[in-house]
Amino acid sequence: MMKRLDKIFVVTLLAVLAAMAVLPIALNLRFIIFILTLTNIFAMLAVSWNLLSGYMGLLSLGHSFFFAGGGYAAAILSISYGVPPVAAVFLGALVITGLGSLIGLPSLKLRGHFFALVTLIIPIIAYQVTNAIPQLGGHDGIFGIPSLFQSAEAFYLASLAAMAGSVMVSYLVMRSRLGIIFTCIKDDEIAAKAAGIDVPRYKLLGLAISIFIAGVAGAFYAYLNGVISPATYELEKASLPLLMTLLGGRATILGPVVGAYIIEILIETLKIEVLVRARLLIYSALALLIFMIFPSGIVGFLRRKVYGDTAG
Amino acid sequence: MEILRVEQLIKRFGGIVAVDNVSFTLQKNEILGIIGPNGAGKTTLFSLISGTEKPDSGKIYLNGEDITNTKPYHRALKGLVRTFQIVRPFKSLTVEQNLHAPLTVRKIHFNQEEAIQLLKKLGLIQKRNIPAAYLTHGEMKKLEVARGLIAKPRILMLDEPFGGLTVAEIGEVTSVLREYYEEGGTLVIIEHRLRELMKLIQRALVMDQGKLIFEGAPADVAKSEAVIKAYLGTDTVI
Repeated sequence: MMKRLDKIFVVTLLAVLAAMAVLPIALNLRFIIFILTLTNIFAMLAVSWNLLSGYMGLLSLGHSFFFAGGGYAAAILSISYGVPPVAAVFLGALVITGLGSLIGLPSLKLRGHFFALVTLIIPIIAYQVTNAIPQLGGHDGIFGIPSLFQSAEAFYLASLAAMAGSVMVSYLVMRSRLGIIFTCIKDDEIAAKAAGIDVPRYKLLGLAISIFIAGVAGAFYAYLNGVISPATYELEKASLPLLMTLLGGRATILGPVVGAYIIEILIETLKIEVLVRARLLIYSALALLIFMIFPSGIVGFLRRKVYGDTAG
Repeated sequence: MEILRVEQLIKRFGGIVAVDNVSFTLQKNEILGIIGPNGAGKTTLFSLISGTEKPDSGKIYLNGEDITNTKPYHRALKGLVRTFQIVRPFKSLTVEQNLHAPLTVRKIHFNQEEAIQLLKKLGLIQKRNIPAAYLTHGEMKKLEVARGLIAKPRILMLDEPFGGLTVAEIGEVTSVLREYYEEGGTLVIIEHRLRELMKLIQRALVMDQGKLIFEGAPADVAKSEAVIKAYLGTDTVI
């Protein structure tokens, strides 16, 4: 039986989602619709980061590789192979899931800072490799990616649905036996092995789910901009999901989405030249503040206030 | 019926021989105690048997199957379950979820009523829904025992299960271990609380400096000159 508090929470959440689907379109806020579409895409990326780094404790500093990889794969499938855009989003995500899992496989034996360092290096290598391959558009990237949908409104609704879908996947995974297994791995790998858990296998599974969601987000990003370039691998894209999740609440279902909305709104409202130039510095300062003031993020803080616990 | 056979196990860490040519067998439905001074190699022996460490040489057989080169999770799924001297609870999970954890990868249905009964017997029922991080050291020790038992192991290997427990808590743990034994379970226990251990076990192994220096009935341990020398550094009892 669902608790009363949980029922109120679910109803509120559905109401917010419905309002988000209807209001921007009804009010014809075209610029806002673009920003919200972008925010949904980054929220998806943050959800994928949270699955791997928040719930499984595998700190990824290179999620931009999976994000950009999804974008590149979908763009190539669309342009070179004529795959319909919607199918290319999922096929592209599958391609980067396969490639990312293959590359990530050896690093899964690593723990803590060592894993983080390897993931930091992967986008740097990918940046150089992509620059050197003309078929990937070199430094300029791939242009002329066809639109996913004819209207910005349809694109927005699709991004909202995909973001909600990624949250649902995250929720279902963490409420299933997989969620317990992932938490065991995060808490203590040696104890997890002693309990009978095949740690490398489940790490790979978690990595694959995370990459797939990041890949879908990356494909949406490529279709939204009509271009995908090596700049997508950059540190900023790698640090954004981390920052969004830490602000919203690591290892919480909604934390990454809350964090993504706050940070994207901040970025878009504070679009002053000097702030844009100093954005990495601002992100770093923000991260430090989060660690010091809100170590469990906004959702983690609220959950403790409402439920008085730290359970997922 | 023999359930576990350890043959000439050797494990070196640099120049130190932590486990030195140790061999023994374990019978089904037996309670075996392993004692010895600190640094005798008891925990390393556990780690070799459970697969956390790899031996430099020697063999380990579980039910006649050579498991020397298998992974720790594989041994756990075969029924060789261990606890740790330094507790390793899954701190983010609640106490009840900690009991669910080993069953997520086994073909055993998580029976909530069974879990509740086990937690009641160990005095943990009040803490059932709180994260294990908030337990006291003694409660974490008891939780590890419960996590081992719920997996219905063929052999449960306990590394200092009484460490840091009160007399009452030792009684709770002893009681559930006896129940497991009476239902056909097999136990190997490392423990420094000899008075409590000797009441529970049927056979004792004593280790010193990596070597097995005694094997026999608990009543004979204190009579062994090698054991007295290992513990007191002299062969005379004052």
